Amino acid sequence: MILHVDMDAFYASVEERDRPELVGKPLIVGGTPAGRGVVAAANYVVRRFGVHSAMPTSKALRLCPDAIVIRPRMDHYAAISAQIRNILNRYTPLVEPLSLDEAFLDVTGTEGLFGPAPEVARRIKREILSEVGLIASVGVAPNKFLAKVASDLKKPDALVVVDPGRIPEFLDPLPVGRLWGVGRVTGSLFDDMGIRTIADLRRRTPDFLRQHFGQHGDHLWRLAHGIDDRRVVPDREAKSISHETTFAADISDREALRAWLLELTEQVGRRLRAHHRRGRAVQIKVRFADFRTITRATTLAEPTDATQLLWKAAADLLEKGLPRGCPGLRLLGVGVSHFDHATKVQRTLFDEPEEQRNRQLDAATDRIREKFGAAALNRGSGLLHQARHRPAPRLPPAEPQGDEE
Amino acid sequence: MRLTCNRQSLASAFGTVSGVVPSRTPKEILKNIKVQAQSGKVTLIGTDQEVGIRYDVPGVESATDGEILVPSARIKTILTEIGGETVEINVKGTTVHIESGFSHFQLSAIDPTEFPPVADFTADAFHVIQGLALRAAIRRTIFATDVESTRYALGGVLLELAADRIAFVATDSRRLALVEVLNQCRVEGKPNGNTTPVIPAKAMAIIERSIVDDEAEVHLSSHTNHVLVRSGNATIYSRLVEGRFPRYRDVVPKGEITVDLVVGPFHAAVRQALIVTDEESRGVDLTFRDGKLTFASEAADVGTSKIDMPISYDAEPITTTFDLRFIAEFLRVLEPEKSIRLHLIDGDRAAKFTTEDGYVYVIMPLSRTK
Repeated sequence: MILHVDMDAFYASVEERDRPELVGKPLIVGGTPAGRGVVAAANYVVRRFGVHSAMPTSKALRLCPDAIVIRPRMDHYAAISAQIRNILNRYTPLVEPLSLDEAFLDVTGTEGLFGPAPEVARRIKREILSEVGLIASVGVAPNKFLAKVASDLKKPDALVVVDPGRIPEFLDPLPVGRLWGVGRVTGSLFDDMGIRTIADLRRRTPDFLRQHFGQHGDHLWRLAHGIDDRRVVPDREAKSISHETTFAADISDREALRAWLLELTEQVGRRLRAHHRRGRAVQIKVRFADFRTITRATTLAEPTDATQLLWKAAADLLEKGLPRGCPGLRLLGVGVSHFDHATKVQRTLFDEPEEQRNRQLDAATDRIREKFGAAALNRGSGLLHQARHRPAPRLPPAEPQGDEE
Repeated sequence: MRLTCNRQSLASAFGTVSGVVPSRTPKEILKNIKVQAQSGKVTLIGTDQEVGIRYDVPGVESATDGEILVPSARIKTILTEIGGETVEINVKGTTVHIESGFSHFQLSAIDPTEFPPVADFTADAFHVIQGLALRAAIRRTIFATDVESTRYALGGVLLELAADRIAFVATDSRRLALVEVLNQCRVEGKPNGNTTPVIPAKAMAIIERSIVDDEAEVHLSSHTNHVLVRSGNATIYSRLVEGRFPRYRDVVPKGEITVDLVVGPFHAAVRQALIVTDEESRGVDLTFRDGKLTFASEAADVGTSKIDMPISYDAEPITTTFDLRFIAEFLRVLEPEKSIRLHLIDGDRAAKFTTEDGYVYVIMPLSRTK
């Protein structure tokens, strides 16, 4: 069984825990409206006004003018996230962190040791509350997709168990928007087709879905049937490290896409270095507005963990992979695989100064971002999508993925 | 336009020119070869706009002047498949008729006016190099180029042009090949163009293929952004690789410790040692000690190997790690009976191979700690 552990309004809850005077008041953790910031987290009080994460702070303040806006303290959240990770690691070595406040656990092999999955879920919730003082929602299900849907179903402080024998009964009444990969655009298409619940979707044939959504249709069909065979892959075992993001509105501006790609590449580079991995293959993933999804990959001469080299390869793939005048993009991702396990590294004749500079730059960036958060430092071109283009992501931004292929 | 010629020589002419024709290009017109008949002379022209070639077909009779475009891939197949000793090409309005023996093809002709021009060799001051020497220099350097490089201009071969000496250099920054041609070159007039052009690997391959006669002289005229080469029936135009070629002289080591080797047996040992390597364990340890060179390789999930070969060596033992593919590529362009000398400093620094005829090959080791 798989557990999806999701901290409730994580950043906001941490602030409430540390400053009890905030409890019961509308609280937003995020950027300031002047800086065109967005809501990183909203507590449950302010959510009642319709405020949600990824919304521009200016809009949130129009909805709830009394809300208190606090700047995020990423280093602090990261430290708390590590404490929570320690609790999760007690119950299984198979912990796949998705972000600071979310993780999948595969407890299949450890049920004999710690009891049935729902019992483990209860213990994890209890320990997070008593040791860290925060509340988590947990979904327990036979696979990742169902576990994630379950954890989200009755937030906050929820524990939802999906009975493997009653998956259709669990899914059928849910709105199609619960399916991973169904956002506003797909949602309105479904609406036009009279598909509102997962039950409605399940009655359609795979052919019908493929016709309307391409490959994505197969994906939707499988999810509607509760099928998801992705494994829980801890970072250290992952055969690839990737990040992707789904845009709130389709993007066709190349510079904006390059800026997004750079940010995703930096995140991938950071995780590679954190796990001491050097990859030889760089891949980008692109989903067009019409759901057609393509991947393009390239092999580097030497395995690397340098953001600069990964970026060069990824930018090149984007340039070549996107025909001029192609439809806008709803999703963009970048990944690195084919990790080098060799202990010996080919030395080079000329470029050591540059390599050294890259390494120093990466190390410094990693340290600064670890300390002050991802927004603390950006490459020149990365500023671009913050200043002009940064759209609010439809899904939590840059969902990290550890795939095994 | 109407021309008659020997089928085989026409087929070989099209074969040479089609070497520059791109198989994938957004500009469809470049997939064609231009056939130009002018005052009795017939020239085939192909280009991908980086590299272009003009090829004068020998032994052709053309009664009338004119020019047409023909699809490169199709015409090449036609000329190899059809029998007959002579072939006749006849342009009537918008169709091209190709006839030989019992076969008759009728293709639609394409308007040649949009076809980009390919410059002709017009310089009267240029460098001259003997065909045999040029071919050897290209073969000994081209494999070390790095067309993927974005940092330096490594996608081609650097030529250092002087009146009595031409150096050819190529590197992918892990190894470097350097050939100096001293006696088999001269100048005609006083060429004053670019003395350090970097010629793309693709153009170098075509230049090499154009050399049909060892003794024939090849003419090279070098300009700021391009070179022109006249070789036999062919004139080759090439844009230069843009960017900076690294200061290679600084990285050619002296290497006081020397080992004399013969290409054949050394290559045989290298090929054996390469058997147990894979993508992840490309480094093979070479240990020089007491009259013996030992190759030790190990690949996870494959196994290990240890190959000994006798050498004359009595200095302090040295162990170094190389990607043997780089050594194999170097040995492949040499005759098996040739003597080479290996110059080492220690196990961690660049090694150098030299031949008696001015060929230098530098290779960087793998570092043994991450």
